[in-house]
Amino acid sequence: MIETFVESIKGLISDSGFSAVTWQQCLMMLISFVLMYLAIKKQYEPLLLLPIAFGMLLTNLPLAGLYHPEIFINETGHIDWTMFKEGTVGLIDILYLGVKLGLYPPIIFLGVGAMTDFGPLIANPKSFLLGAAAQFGIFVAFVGALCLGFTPEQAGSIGIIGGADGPTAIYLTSILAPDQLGTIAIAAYSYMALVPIIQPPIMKALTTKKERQIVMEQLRPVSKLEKVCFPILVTILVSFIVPSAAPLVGMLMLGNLMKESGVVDRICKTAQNELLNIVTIFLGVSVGATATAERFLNTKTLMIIAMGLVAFACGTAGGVLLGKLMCWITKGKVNPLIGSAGVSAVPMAARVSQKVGQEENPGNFLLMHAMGPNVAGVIGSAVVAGILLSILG
Amino acid sequence: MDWGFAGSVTITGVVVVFSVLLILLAIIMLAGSLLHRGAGKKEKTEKMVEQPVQTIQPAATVSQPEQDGTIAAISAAVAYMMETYGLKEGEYRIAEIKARRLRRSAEGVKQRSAWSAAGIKDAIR
Repeated sequence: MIETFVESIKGLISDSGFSAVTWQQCLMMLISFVLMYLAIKKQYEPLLLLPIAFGMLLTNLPLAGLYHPEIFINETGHIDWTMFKEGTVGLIDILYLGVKLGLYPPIIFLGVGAMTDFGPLIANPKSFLLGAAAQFGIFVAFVGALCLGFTPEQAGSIGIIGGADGPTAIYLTSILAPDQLGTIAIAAYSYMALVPIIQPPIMKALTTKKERQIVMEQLRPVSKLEKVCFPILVTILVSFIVPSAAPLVGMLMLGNLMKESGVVDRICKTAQNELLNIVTIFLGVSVGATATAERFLNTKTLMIIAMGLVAFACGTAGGVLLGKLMCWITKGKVNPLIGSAGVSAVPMAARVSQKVGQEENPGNFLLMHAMGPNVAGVIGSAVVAGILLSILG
Repeated sequence: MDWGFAGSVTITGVVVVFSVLLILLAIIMLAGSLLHRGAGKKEKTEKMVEQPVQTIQPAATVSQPEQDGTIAAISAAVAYMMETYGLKEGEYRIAEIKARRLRRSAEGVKQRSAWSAAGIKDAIR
């Protein structure tokens, strides 16, 4: 009996995680603790970063078998359904299907559209140009990533970090470079949280004090008819020109139409609350779980993080520089600071424009003017994702 | 590193994204100007009809000084209406705000309040 007991204990120990853990897994768990600290204590995009960090922890637990990367990332490029048929898949394998099949990001965009007011953009359509200019950083990072030796698909996924749009980055990366999804998602959401730190020095370096003090004219009122027609027009136009962008732009505009129509209040509330929250949890955990020790702990991760910063900075610079040009053309009617809001970190980037403008002129309220380029950037980054999918997919 | 490929992707991407958003800009500006041209004609007709009402039938008035909140709300509503219909500052002003009891006119017809008169005028215009 004692021998049986000893054998049982030995068997438990040999089957436990303690016997199988590697130093790389321990390091990844420590990194996940750092990300959880940033999410909880510093409140860096906690809605996504916390599930991502916990997903990273779960996937690096030894012998837990929650996630099997070989099902999704293999030579064929398709999902290997064998383990699903055998019933040996883990919890996160099932959740990750929503990412791999391109389901979660469009649903998140549905909720985002239901929460977004395109009024400032409709009132001042020139903001579209600022939204377009801020996507310049994507292509700078794309070229930079190619120079560093990444494949074109990986370079496109790295570049899209500059769009400052988490769901778009995840959507594109899950198709073009799923092996880098964890790293790119963490980089994208971290930089989105760091917008108030990254952007102001660039904005101040590229503008003069006089330009920052410019007070813009009040925006015209926007009618309900305009707000209802806008999402329909955008969906048709963008989908005709860039069909690959249809899932993201279509769902974004569906959410917005639900909001602006005012006749489907119940499902609009569901889209921006319960549905969005559920999908956020599933997306965050499953994306975080892709950050296994083998994929994350290499020099490519550091290069991705560096290029993500370059993308962000160049996007900010692109928007501000076009803002300066518009200021010159309109003889001082446009404050160049709103150009930096063209990165689609809504509404953080618009708030940064407001804050920097108010530092120079406390009576200057740029927030609503900056919201135009901010929401234009969401459309712009989705269009760029569609373009990259068409060319590189 | 294939610079030709990198350049072509970059140029294509920048040109297409600017083109798409420029087209959207043009369409939104066109739609906005068409809608506001229609709204402008409607405002002119309303202005012409509004003027007699304001001179012949004064608005409901409040004389008690303690109803400052009501006066402020009415003033804000008038200011908003003036801005919406494009009326210039100084073109119209609130002369007085006084509550009036409804009374029958000499012809025996019950005199309507300014609100109900305005509503009827709006409905039968």
